[in-house]
Amino acid sequence: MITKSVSGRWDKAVKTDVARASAWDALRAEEAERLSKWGKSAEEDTERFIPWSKTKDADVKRALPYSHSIPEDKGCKSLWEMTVPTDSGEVVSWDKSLVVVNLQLKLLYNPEPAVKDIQRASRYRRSGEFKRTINPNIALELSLYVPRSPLSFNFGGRAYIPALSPQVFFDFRYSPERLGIIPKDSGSQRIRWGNANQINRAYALWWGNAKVCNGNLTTIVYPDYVGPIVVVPLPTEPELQESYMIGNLVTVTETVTGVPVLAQNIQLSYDASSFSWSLGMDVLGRGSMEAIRPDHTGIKQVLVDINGHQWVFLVERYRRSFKFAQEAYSVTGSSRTQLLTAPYAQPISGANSAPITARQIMDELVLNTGFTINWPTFGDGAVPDWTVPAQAFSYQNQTPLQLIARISEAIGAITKPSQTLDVINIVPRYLVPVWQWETEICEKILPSALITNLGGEWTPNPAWDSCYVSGTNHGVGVLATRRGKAGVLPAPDVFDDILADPTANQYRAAVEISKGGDQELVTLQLPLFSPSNPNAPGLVTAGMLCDVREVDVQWIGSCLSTQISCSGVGASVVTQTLKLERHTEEI
Amino acid sequence: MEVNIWKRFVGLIPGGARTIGKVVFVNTVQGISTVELRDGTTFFAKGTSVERDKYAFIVDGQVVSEAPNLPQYSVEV
Repeated sequence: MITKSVSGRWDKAVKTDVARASAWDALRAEEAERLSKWGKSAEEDTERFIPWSKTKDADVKRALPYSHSIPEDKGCKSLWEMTVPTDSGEVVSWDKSLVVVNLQLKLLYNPEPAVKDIQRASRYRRSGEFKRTINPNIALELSLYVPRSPLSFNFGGRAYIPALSPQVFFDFRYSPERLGIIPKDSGSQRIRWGNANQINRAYALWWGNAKVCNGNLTTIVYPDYVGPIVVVPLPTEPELQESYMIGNLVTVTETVTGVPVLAQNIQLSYDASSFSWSLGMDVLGRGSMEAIRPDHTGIKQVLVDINGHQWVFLVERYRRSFKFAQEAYSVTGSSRTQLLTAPYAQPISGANSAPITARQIMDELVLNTGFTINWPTFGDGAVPDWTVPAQAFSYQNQTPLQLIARISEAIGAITKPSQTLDVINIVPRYLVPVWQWETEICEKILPSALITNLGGEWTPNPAWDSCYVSGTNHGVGVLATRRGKAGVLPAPDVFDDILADPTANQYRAAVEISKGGDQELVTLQLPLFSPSNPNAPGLVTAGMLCDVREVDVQWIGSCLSTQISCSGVGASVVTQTLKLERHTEEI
Repeated sequence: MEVNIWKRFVGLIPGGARTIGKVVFVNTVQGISTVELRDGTTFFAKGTSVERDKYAFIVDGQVVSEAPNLPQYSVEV
């Protein structure tokens, strides 16, 4: 924060010039004697007594300036005293918040022409509409005779000099016809008004908060930054084509034996509030079902491969129904992270007796389970780690995955399972706060050419601009205000036992404020491209920031959920349904 | 916005609003406490279990327990 509080101090003035007041004193009557000189003259010449009479009264008045000073001049002395008390109330108020009225300033840019101009057509004059256009190549063809077959000239070793009047001679000179400027008719008769093409958007200068990106590509040394440098990859720019032919390849196999499983109507889904992918499919035939049916060795796992994207699922439960000439199995499964919760893991109780970081708590919870935690704390997509005070994190009868989700939810992050590995990723729910989306590099670009179905559901929400996040019995309380806002519309207070660090509370407050504002829940449907295709978006999962380019508008949304559906048998149709959170308020 | 059906259902359940306030007056006759919130507004909460000039947890308009006086920060995000 650059702004500092500055205040002035009003005190009594020092009476250093008091001595000057004494200079204003009564004048000395030095020239008082001059008054006496204007007395009666000596009567030396009595005969000429008459001319020397008493002076006129007007001259007497000249003595008046030589008198005591006017008493009102002494009043100047009283000015060297205390300051006027009213000035002491003038304190410069430096505040961190902007004045609300200033926030209303915005640039009104409306490229739409006035209604009266929309129907206005351009004025043009038809000129040269039926005039023949002369192509220089055709003119050359017509002006000269070009022999079609090769000719052999034999001039007898001498220079060819055409005779003056021979029967045939060659003239190789060609002077094209000189044409003046030919007017042409304009191609269109109507002015089309539309939005300006948004081209070269990636080259625009982004003014915003500085961040660590592309650090390895430059040789600039930052003397005040000693942390690690993370290169933020740019999103794949999709290659738009006139048509797409997608050959979907969906396979389901048992992981240990590799036995293929015949299945149809495969549904995969994951949303930001879950901590595992879920699977639903219909298994065809008893042989396939026997391969994945839970037996004395435990529950089985299946590997689902859709266009190169792979998932490993536990076969958690299945239903079967038999009737004449029909045999149906319906299987549901979930990610392996489900092994860390009921009914596979036992609830535990405990507390931290010493200060410990949240990441260490998670590592302790998955100790000796084979699972690992992936919690990036720096770079793009980082979630801050913080220290939990002693006795702040206590739990009773909760499974490890419930506790991991509780910590993740406290900081405002997503518990995202790996698709094939035993890794739990802690990723931010909002990659950056909503009001910084415009300057953030998106992870995926979704052009309208790839979107097969689009729907929206708009809902109003209060535009929160502050949030109070506090620990309950430990830690600190943090009142976070959105930068540039007055903080007059607070989000509901957040209290959590383990939110005991200013950094963590600040991060959670930004997440809570981001949940506010008018939003549209946009549902997109697009094909699931292979991960090896560099020109297509591929799989989009929760937490990813997407740059959606509709036909007439471009916006940024955060992915909330993913659902992948493979319908049919054989060459199945694979669709990827996304739900994006789009903020429609003016950021 | 929440898309998880269970989370949406939990969000529909009323109650559970928790806040911290400072008890400025305790009326033991009527069994209510005058609580001042962070923004300066006051209201009456049921219960007199927290002494005057102490902080209290208020859940759904009821004084639940005493809250510690935690260090406060004001930041921008």
